[in-house]
Amino acid sequence: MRKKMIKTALLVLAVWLFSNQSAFAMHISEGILPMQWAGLWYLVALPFLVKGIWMIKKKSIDLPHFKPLLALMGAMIFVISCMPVPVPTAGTCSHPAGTGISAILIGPIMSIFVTAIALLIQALFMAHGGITTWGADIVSMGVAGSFAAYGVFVLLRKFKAPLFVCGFAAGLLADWATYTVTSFELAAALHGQESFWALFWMIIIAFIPTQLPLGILEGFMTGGMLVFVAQRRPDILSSLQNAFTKKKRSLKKCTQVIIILLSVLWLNSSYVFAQEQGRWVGVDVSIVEKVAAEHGRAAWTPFINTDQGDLLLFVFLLAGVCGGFIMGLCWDRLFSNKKRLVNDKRSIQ
Amino acid sequence: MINEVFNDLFAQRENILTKIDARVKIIFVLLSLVVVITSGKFYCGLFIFCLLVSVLLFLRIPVKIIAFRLASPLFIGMILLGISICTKGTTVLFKWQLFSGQLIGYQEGLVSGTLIISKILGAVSLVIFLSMTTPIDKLLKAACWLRFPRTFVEIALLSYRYIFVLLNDAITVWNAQTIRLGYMSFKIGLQSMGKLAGAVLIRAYDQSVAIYQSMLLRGYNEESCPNVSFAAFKRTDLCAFYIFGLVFISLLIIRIYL
Repeated sequence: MRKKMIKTALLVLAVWLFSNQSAFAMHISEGILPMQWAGLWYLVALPFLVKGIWMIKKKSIDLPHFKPLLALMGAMIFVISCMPVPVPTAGTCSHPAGTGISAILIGPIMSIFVTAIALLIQALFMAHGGITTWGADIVSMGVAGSFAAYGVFVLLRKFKAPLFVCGFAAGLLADWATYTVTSFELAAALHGQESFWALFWMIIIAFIPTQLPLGILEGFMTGGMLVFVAQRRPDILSSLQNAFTKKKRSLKKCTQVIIILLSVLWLNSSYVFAQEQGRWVGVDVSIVEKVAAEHGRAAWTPFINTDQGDLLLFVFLLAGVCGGFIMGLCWDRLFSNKKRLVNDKRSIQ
Repeated sequence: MINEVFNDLFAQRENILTKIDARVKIIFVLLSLVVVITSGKFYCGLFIFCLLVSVLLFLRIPVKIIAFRLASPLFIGMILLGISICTKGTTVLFKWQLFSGQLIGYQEGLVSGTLIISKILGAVSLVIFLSMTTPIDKLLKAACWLRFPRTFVEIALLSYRYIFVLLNDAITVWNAQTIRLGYMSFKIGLQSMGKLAGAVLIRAYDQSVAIYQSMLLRGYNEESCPNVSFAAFKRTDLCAFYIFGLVFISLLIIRIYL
């Protein structure tokens, strides 16, 4: 009887949690991150917010209604991220991030600022995210989402891809980047004595049923939204001085920020990697060699053992010399202006 | 439902807690958050959760709203609990045969997962308590006192105000699309969703221009908004300060001795 009651209670709880409620998988909830990690992500997010405030002050001079516009953009992100999107594979509802479209329209830094506001309101009034995890949520949803979306949008526009495709890729990557960085943040903070990568992949796998299809849905939504606005009100897209107008400079800036972000992530992960030393072996050792040894084909010492002395270094040096020689031979073909070469040849003839 | 959930309707009510200065509540919530999160004890989060949920129920906040707000953090907490049980520890709690492999649960993982859930419950209940007893304008005004940049506070206030306007617009468009069979199939639904988001964006842009003009007419300038002045603490605030202090000390005692 008691067992039946416990089972029923668990079933009711599971149905309540997984059926009607939205799977707000993008934000890290209050209380999950330990204090030192929460503080670290605050520090990472802070420069972007400071830069955002500085840019707003500067931009408000050129565009007087910029502050109300940003406020409405923040409200729009909030409304979009409240749209429940059914996720067929998981049987639940989830929600889009909305940072893809804001990054395209107002630029990545402003998008981070606006996302921070939307996240704060969501944390306070929906318990969606949290105050201590605000920094981590800004980094995952704001920084990673906005820069991924903006970078891919500008890059695809450079290659003259259709507007829908650019928007689709931006929405898709904004969502997936957010969810990947969220998994990274969770795994880095919670792995304890266990393996970081095992936990990281486990979190990713746990979120895949909702976030994988949701990313595609958000891509469709962002693409459709951009095409709709471009058809009905093209003046909005050109007036905002965004990814549509500043192509070269913004791509360069975006690359710089992505490099800085990757460096920060790399610095964080270097600590994690140091703990992983020796725990993980390659596929060759763990699978191929193991299976071969089980079937009586144990590995033997190679005929040319490159681990001896500096042989491997010598081989690399040789390869470098050969590569450099071939590149030197083909230098003209690779880097010279073809038109100039043709003109030179014609003038000689 | 969505309007009820993130509207500060309950914070606008007249009761003992809404009358207390927002700064006192913010200090209490921030300090308690630090204690709950840094605590390694299960009871800490549970104590603050039980206490604050009782207070909220006493203030006649509907259980549905509290449950809705707790649902999403608990969802993530449940996932983390599952992962923690399967990955952390050495003492085997259960073994289940799943297809060709085995699913093993560990006792240490269960303990650590439960600790995370208790922290989530405690921390989230603190935030719910703050938002259910303090209107957003007072919260952001207190944020100014905590040296938050004024540009941030100003835009956050405007954002909050226009969420409801945009939400109503979005709901109107959504209803119109539904009536015209806009979500009849998955493909049509996707197209309609893009159009809905586009319509919200156009509306947001047009409104920003109109709002700026109307704000200018009402005497808005960059320096004057938000014009924040802080009143001195009243006697009720000091009483609340002592009561919150007692709760905080109890929390510390639980953290250290239990």
